[in-house]
Amino acid sequence: MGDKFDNWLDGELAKGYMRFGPGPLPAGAPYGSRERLRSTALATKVVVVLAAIALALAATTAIAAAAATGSANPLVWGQYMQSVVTTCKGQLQSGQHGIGKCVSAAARQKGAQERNQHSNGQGHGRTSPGQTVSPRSTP
Amino acid sequence: MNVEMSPLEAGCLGTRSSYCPPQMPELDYKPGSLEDFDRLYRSSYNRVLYTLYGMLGDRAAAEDCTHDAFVRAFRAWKTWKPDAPAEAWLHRIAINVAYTFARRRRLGEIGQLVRRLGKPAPAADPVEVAETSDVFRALSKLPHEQAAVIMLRHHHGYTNREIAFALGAPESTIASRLAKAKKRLREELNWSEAPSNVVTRPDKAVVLEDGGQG
Repeated sequence: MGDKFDNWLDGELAKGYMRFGPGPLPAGAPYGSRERLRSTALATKVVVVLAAIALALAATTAIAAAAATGSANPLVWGQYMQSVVTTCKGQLQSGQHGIGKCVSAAARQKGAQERNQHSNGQGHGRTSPGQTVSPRSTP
Repeated sequence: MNVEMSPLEAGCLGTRSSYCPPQMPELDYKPGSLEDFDRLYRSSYNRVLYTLYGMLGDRAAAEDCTHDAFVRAFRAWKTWKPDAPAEAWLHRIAINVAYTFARRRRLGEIGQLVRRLGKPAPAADPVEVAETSDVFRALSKLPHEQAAVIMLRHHHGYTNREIAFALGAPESTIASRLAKAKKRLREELNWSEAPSNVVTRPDKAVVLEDGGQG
């Protein structure tokens, strides 16, 4: 008795399927496009974070350079560093290599000097581009 | 003794097997493989869509839920275990998506009812009504879990065990749910069977089986 209903139901659902479809699959699998969107969003986030880190590093460097030279002008920072490097190179004895220690010592010394000038109320003791602080000699 | 196996029992959809009907490609899926998921998508999309149409009675909603289900399945594809048929696993995800959708839709309908307060409900789309067969009209009046078992058994040919896996319920629950679903469906269709080969439906002309004329 139930078989007739079952058979009828099977037939109706099969007919319904033929009417309903099976149609062509939608262009572009939904999971693919959404996952791609997700990965694109992730890539954008990574780029933004990297850009923020680069910006922060540049800002820190600029602040350090400004503190060392007492000038906000990057040209002054460049000239100052150039003079320090030249001085440090001149102090190298023959056969010696590496001026890193000498340069960082010069920068520290200059920073300390700037801080002292600030605390003594001498305002921004600007160092003229040509004027250099003699770096401590390094071994 | 001739024991018939459904394609799912035979393992066509989950594992490599020599028993597969010709229309059903022999599939062996590897969890996490993108190519295999593409194959699963191509072989199951329309079948899953039809199941959800039977449950929701609305093609657009069924398409939305099917898309959503494939996105979820794709994310969980690495965790699929080959001991379970892939299509039944997919049906499990899709049916859960449909349940959630139906719950939200019901809440929305309650909201609309409150806003209307006595005004008549908008009429259904006549084209859609004309295209919908009696079975689907009746199925749409069944609880969604009952409509799901009807679709899985009577269209996809799943066994109780396979339906139990797809719905995440014990087999005994599936058996009783199926019996209730069929009883309710007969009532909705005003189906009655005469003791002979004559099958009658009060709202339709008499249908004679075995080549008879109604």
